[in-house]
Amino acid sequence: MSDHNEIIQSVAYGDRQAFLQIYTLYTDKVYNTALSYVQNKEDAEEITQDVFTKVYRNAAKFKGKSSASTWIYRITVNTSLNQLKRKKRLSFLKLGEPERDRPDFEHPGVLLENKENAKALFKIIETLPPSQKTAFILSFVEDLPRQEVADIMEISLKAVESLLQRGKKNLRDKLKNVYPNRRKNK
Amino acid sequence: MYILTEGKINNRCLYQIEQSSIKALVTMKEEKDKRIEDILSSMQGSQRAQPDLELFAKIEQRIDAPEAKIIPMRQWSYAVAAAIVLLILNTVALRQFTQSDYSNTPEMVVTQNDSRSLISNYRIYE
Repeated sequence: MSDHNEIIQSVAYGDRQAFLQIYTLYTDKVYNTALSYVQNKEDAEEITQDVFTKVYRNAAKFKGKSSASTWIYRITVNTSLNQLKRKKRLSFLKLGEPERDRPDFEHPGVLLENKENAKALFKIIETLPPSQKTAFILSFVEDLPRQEVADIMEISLKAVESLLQRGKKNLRDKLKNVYPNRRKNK
Repeated sequence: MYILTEGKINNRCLYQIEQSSIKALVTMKEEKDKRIEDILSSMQGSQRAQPDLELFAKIEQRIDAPEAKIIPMRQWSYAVAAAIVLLILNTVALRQFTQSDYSNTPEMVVTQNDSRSLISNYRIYE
């Protein structure tokens, strides 16, 4: 992990090779996290570009208090949430225009047998408030340990657990609304 | 005796119905919990999505481009507030100026002359 911190220090001096190394190491994590938030390929790529530009420009500000992974995840989470806010503002401005129904998001890497459940997961994630959304994405999509989730979100481990519990309660309530006829169809 | 037996039968039936509905409720809850767990673990073992291969080149282009200066929203709001205050002050000043100018219009001059002549006609002690 400290190796990654050293690479970031090299990035701070404008080392492009080190930057490519950081990109190779983290592009998967950044892109997949962003994809879980915006559920759209183009926006996720836009966020990935923003994140790595910020990493390059702010590498000198990275003091190594947290791990490089935590720092990059934190930038990704904030950039994704800002992008969602911006989109919400834009959709508010276009209130008069009829909104097109967006099809359910299908993650390109999901296993065939999990496709329906993953669709339900992303549909529910979309409706969660920002902090619950972040806890859910980092825990259940990125599969990060709870402590790392707490570090990224800069909250306590207990607070993460509480967010996940609330998220699960929301999930239980929303399951009735999202797929109410599932039993009948079976 | 007969009623008692019937009562016993009814009680047993009620007990059985109660038991089966409790069982059904427990099964439903278990099914729901299982479904939630299935949903939460649905991304386990999935492959990572890959971005466009050209993405790094695009990032490098962005880094090499001169950084656009972002003016914070707060700064914009100060500028707008200052512009509104200036506009109000100008409007007030302009209104006062046009009103004071109105007193020098030909109509006003004529009225003033008239009142002077009127006053001169009332010199009763001359």
